[in-house]
Amino acid sequence: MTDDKELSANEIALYDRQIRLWGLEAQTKLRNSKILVINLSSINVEVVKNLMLGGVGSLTIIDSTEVLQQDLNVNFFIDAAMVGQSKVNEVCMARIQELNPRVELKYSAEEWSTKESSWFKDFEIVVVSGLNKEETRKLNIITRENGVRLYTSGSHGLYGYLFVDLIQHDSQIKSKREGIAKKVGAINSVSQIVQVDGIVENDERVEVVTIRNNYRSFDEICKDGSVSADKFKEFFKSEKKLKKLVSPALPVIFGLLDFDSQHGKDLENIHIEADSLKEKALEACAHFQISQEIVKPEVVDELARQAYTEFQPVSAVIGGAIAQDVINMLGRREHPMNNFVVFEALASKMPVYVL
Amino acid sequence: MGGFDAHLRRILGNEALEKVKKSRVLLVGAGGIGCELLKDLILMNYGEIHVADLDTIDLSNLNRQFLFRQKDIKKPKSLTAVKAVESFNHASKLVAYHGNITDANTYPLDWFCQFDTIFNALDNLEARVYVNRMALFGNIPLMESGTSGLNGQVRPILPYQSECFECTPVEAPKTFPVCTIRSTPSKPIHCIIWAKNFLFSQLFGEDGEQEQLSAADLDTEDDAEVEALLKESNELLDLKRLIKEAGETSNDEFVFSIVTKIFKEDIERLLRIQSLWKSGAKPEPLDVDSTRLQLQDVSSDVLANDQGVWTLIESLYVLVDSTKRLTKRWASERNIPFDKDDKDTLDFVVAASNLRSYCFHIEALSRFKLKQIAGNIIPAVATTNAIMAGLSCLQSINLLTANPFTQLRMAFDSNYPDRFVVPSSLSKPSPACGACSLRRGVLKLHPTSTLGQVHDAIVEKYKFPDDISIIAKSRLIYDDDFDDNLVRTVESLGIGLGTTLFVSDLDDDFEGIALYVTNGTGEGNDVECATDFELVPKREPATADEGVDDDFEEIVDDDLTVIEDRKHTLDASEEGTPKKVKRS
Repeated sequence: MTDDKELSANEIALYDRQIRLWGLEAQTKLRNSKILVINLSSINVEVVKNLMLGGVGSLTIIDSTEVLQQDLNVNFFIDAAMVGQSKVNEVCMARIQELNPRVELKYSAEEWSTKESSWFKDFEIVVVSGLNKEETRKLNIITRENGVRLYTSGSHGLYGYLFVDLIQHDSQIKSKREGIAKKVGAINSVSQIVQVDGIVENDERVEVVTIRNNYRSFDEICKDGSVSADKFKEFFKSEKKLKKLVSPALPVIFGLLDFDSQHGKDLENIHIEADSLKEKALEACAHFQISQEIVKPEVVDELARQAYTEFQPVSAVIGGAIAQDVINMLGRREHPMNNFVVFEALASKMPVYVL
Repeated sequence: MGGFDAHLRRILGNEALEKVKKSRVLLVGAGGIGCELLKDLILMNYGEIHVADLDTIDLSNLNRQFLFRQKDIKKPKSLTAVKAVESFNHASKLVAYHGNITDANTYPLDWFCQFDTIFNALDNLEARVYVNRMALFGNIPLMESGTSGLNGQVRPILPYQSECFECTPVEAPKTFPVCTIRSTPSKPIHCIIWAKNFLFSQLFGEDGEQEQLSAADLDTEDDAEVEALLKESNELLDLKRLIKEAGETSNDEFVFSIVTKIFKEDIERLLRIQSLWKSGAKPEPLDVDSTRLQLQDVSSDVLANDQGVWTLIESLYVLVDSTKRLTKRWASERNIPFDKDDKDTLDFVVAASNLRSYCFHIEALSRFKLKQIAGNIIPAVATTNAIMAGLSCLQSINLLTANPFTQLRMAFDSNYPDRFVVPSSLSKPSPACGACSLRRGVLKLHPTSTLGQVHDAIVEKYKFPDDISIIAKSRLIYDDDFDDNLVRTVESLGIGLGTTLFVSDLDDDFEGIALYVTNGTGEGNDVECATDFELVPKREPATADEGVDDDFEEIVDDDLTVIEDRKHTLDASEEGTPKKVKRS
């Protein structure tokens, strides 16, 4: 990484309330980070807002699409005068820059798929949204080649998802020491405790646990036979719990990834047939070896109707979760998300699955 | 082209979207969660959004309150937020209020009653409790939310159908016995409270505001200690005189008189009380003469040292420096309240607290750390606020369904690796709740209405089978043995806009009711009970008293209350989730 510049007194005053949460060291790491955002979707508008406010070092936004009427209520950086213009137009970018003049903001209307693999090397993290299965697979292969961390997401009305690939990541979790000290060793097949330190903080015994998370790439997840029911059972111990806790939206959302991506396309032309979506959802069940009973017709209908629509408060939740995880990741703090998160808005559910 | 709300039609359906477009909602608070809520509510196409906040913008808000810029510092939050969203594409009508929501003259109950839903985005308990009461009086759904660092929660409240804000016990402010603060501190917090609530307010507070201690106030049996503390207090009043007399002069001597008294003589006096030091280390009085000599070696750079811990000498340097600054100001201001963002007051408290810590062998803290404790600063980040605001707005959609009670979900953040948000169904109201076990309603009257009219209107409207008692402002104003007031006007009894009348039946067969007084609209002296409900037979256990203050004589540090709403509601998590949620 580049030389870690120290924070000025002014920056400490500005970031006071968050430095009190994650410390000067994490704030410095944040300040020296370089992040690429692909597609200024509604979710990514929230990611960009949160990362600008948090004080990342440099943020590059690329999006090759134009502003549509339907974007006006899901992207608060644009306005009606921009319809037909590039989404990353100057006025829009100036509004983003205003959030925090300290962040180096770059943008371009280029398409990520035209870029050489090595171009991505410059970034620590890539945040993308609106890709389909094949595109996600391709991009993830590129990020892996370059050792770059990847966050992808998608929005379907009152449902959404996000996928994380941090390759391998160590983070520290501080907690009050209760009972027996935690021990070094495997937690499950993707994470393990690699170190446990006891310290005293504010008269309390505190345990600092270093956890190592290993991630599966999207390519691995999509390979036949790569995920088995055993994998789910590892996390949801009984069949009953598995049924209860695996979201009926999971296979349907995964099924939607088989369709063309719709980022930047007019909603009027998007029609997903419930029958074909159901078929894809059943395929997803077969792929993950989970019971087909989990596919509920009403959920399929709802997702077929709402597919690819964006909704401001849903974007706020998913975009908030991604930005939070990016910040935690940079500061090497907390439990990172590993690796597929489904959001069911009306039920306020947001389970994390290890696919 | 589908227009800008084509997506909303697909997501919500036409019927629900029309309801949203016709809704008028109140957003209380335009801070961290408030800015986020305003953005979401607008882009959901809520018909009318009214935003109230009493606060102005500060530099430390800008890391999360994304509608504000450097140039907006010191401007009112509500007005600035509404102006900032002008560029958003929206059809919502926006109204901003810069004022205190608990001011019943500006925001009477009638005003609250115009709203279909209230969204709370508050940072303090007092206002939360107040808005909860208004929601109960007006029977208005309330979306309560709060965050602290990475923790956050959303609690939808359906008055009388689900738990209200006060159904779960609200964490009492942390209190410390007077003797711990004044004689035997053992933790940094004890020294901070002493420096801020005792020493600082005694020296720089308003004249006459000073604490008049009596022996009974002191939570100790030790006569010697009582005597010492009382003497200490009286001498402090003398020191206050020194500050007054010093005024604009540049003479330093008065500062060292203060230092000698506080950090040398008072501690020597405590040392003479053997009983206090049977266990634990004895404090060490400050050697004022020798430390004073070393002051010349201290560079004024220490005043800029926020992150490092000041040495004893440095602390003394800052104490002297800040005392002189404050004394100058006192000459014209006559009352300087402690404010964590007022550098003079913060420096004084940090220096005094650390000097006391050095005397008592307690860990000294950096100004950065000490400010957090003295100013009760709760860490706050954009992401948690955005997430909780989003969840709050999404739950408001469930209010539009046929049976909101079964659809609505509370939401809590979680740091379990297998879920990011933990939902929870709503619980029924607690029968013991002091706020919502009482059925609440509105009473419209005129200043010239008599208590007799009020009495008759209540008995008739709510069909009380026998006579009633009426309490206003913690005073009994009517029962069957005390009817003198019936002929008096409500005005002469001090009853007016914003007064709450508590009414119960004399046989105690029914739950009490609470009526909020507003101004009558009709002609003459008419009294009208404006809210329809039926009396509820008395439930067990008996209801708690209505907000009666304890006469506890302890140093209560109001500002130090950490609102941990989360804590007392987490047990209600959904089936399949652990009983207790904690950060792992």
